Amino acid sequence: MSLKNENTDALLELCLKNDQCAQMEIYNRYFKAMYNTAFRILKKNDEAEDVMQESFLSAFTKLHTFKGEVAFGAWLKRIVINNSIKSYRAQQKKNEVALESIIHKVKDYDEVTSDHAFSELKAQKVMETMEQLRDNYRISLTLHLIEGFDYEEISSIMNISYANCRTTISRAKESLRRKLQISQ
Amino acid sequence: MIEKEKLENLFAEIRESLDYHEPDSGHKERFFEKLNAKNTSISDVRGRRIRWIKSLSIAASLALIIALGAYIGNAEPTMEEQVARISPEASNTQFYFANLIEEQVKKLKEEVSPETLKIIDDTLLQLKNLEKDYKELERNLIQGGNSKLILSAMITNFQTRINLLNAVLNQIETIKILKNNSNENTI
Repeated sequence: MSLKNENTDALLELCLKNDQCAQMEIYNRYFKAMYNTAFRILKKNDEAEDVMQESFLSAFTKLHTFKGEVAFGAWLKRIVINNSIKSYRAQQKKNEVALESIIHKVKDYDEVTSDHAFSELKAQKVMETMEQLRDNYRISLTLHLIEGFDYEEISSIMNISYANCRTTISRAKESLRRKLQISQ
Repeated sequence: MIEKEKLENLFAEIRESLDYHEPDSGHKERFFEKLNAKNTSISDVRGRRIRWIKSLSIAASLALIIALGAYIGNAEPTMEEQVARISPEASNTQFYFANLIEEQVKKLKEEVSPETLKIIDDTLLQLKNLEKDYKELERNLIQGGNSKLILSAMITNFQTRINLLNAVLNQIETIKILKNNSNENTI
């Protein structure tokens, strides 16, 4: 674990000098988590990829401001989340209706019913249920339950009041609970 | 309340398995291209800014022009970087030639005497013109001209400068010998 940290630190040193190989290596290590974070907010492959990659680029640009108070992954994730929210708002403005939200996704789970895949299956089921929630419920719950932010942080990220944030999350939880019970 | 706990527990349980989406294939290549474009544009902007400041200071001081003309090894480092990106061989060659020329120019300046002053001044002026041509070639190369032709012209430019310096140094030798000889003759 500490070795892995050291390696990342060494890589970041190189990234500060604009070393392209080190930057690609950082990308390889973090892209999956960052892509999924963006995807959970944006629900679209291409936009999630775009936001994720742009976030890496801006992270490299302002890497000198990263002082290591938090883990690099957490710092990067915050950039991804902020950019995802920004992109989500732009998407709302354009009033685009995602194809996925119209056509109900039909997935065949039969091939992944082995035991070790059980928690993965469960995760997918929960995430699919999350996707059925209203956008602001989905996003606030994602930030709260998955990314682990507290109310204060979420209200600043989503630009809503603290009280509003609390209510939204509690209603979102209620809604998710109901939907999970139905689907079970 | 029990329900609430359940939800938190549920997410704790599935946390490890949540990142199951994969970006579309080819995302690494797409990122590499973006990264490349970004890194290139940064050095371009930096280069442009430095060149602008440079040209301003050159305009401000004629003495600096002469200094730069004599000191090509020092001039426009960012331009060199850009050339190095287009053709590393060319920048190596440039480094080699620049050192050589610098040495020759130093030698030339040591030869300054009333007899040779005119020829040395003239040589430095010619070198300056050649260097101006060279800068023009570099600019063309960076702007994406026919790189084969331009690179060969750049090499020819260096060779011309070296030949000029050698010719002048030879001539100075001749002048010195002539002077010594005539001095001996008059004695």
